[in-house]
Amino acid sequence: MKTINSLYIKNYKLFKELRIDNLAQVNLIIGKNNVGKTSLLEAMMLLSDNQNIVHNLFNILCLRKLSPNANSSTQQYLEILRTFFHNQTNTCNETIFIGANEQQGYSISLSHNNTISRQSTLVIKQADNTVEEILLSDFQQIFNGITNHETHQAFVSTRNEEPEDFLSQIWGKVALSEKEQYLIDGLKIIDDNIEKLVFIDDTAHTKKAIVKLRDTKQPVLLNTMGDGINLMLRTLLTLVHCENGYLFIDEFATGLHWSVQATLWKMIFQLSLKLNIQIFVTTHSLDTLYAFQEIAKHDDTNVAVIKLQKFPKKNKIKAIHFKTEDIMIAVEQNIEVR
Amino acid sequence: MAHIQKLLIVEGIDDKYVISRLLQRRKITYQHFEIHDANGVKPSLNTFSIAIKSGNYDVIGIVVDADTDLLERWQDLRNRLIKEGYQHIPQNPNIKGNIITDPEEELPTVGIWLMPNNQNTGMLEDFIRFLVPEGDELLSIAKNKVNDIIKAGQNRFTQSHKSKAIIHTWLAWQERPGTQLGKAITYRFIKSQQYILDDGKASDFINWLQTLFKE
Repeated sequence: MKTINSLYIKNYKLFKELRIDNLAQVNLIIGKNNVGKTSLLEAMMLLSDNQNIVHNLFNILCLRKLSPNANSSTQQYLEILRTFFHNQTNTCNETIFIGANEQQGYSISLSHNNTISRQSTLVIKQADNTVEEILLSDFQQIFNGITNHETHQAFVSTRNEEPEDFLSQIWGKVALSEKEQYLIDGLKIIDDNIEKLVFIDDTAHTKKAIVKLRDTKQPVLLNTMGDGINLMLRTLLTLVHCENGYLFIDEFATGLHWSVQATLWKMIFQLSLKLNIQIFVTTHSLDTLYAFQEIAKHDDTNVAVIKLQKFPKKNKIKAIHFKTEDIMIAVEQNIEVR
Repeated sequence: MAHIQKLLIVEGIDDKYVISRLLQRRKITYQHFEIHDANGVKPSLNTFSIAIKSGNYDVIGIVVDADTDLLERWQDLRNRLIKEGYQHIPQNPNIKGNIITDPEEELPTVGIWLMPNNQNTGMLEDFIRFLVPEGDELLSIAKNKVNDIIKAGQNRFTQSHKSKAIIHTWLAWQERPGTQLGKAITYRFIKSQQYILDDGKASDFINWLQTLFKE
């Protein structure tokens, strides 16, 4: 896994141009609603993998619930792809650029004059000048053929819960390995009575997690045990899945008590190091910020807090870096930084 | 919604009350304005830096004591401003108070006042002492008494806090003994209804506040 140290993007959604340097192992992105936190996360995901660009574009559309259906026409694909561009109405002259800096990255553009057939195409140009042209009329086939191939990254969003099947698949790979202990240890932080966990098929043939509690004879459905433990399991399994890769979390643990969030942060810091995962998290929550600095101040992990700030007079968005010490002062003095 | 958010950072609760009462006395109010007691000099300076960085305030003022080394305090603030991207900050403080704007309009307007008057060493209590009317006999007595105690080595306070000893001694002998610094700003003699403190000497400070925070 190559650590993403910096980001430079142009014309991606609301970002005409955005540069962020000094990214860390664990990055917390804050900012007001609609400033582009989710879009930034998407751009990071696009940056993390320059080999499966179409796959990632498709994932982003799914996460936003904008994915094309089986009967979409080429025109509809064109409209959907336009939504990625800064200037959605005039995409003819516009090129999206995703890179670590101006020299290292790839560009995406829409061409309406394909050399072969005058059809609309998506053009991807890499840093080594290799060009890939994909006819929009082929997109239906491409999207239908996309399966969850072996990636070491995950985009977790509260709007989209991972199917239990996916989680149980990850569990299948982890069970009885040394990693199983990380999971149990993590769950024990929230509920000390948990001894073992397995996934079973329930009556509807879907996978469900059950746990053995110390003082109870019958195993218990994890679903019945509260949001904190369930989110902990999802997070732990996802972290394990992302070993040597990247994890993107949109709207971290919204709605959970700050102490539960603190526990999650602890696990995230530990496992980001142990499993070599670079992590990007967005939040608008004060509880999340509070929990983050409570854990970060006693931890060595390399972290960064990045605020996306709009400058309406200049019509631009900038990234402002905060250190853990800065957030500690803000929390102590009750100064609003979000 | 785009109202202008204004923040004034002060070192302690006395500063907060004194400034509130000075504004009250002159019937000055500001919209969306908060006086923040950072509880200490280092926390005040740190809060100043964070507030600028946060992007959530349009105007930020800071009032801190010059203490024993005025230029050192000024340099600290100057360095913090440079770190946040401000330019053309003077090497020395202006005696009428400092206000620095960002020509790019990306950073908030900031203001700095070093108590008591941007040129002397000292603290808030010196600023208050300057407001005691000329020829006030109780003030001379208080000054002499405090100096005697220091000469005899009987002071429990450090020399750097001499101003505090003097002004609180003076306050202890007023119509309402033990009136707080802040309350003293708006306190009037019972009979004459004259203010016990003359706010004329506070005009530079008030003008600095007005230039900074008035719409």
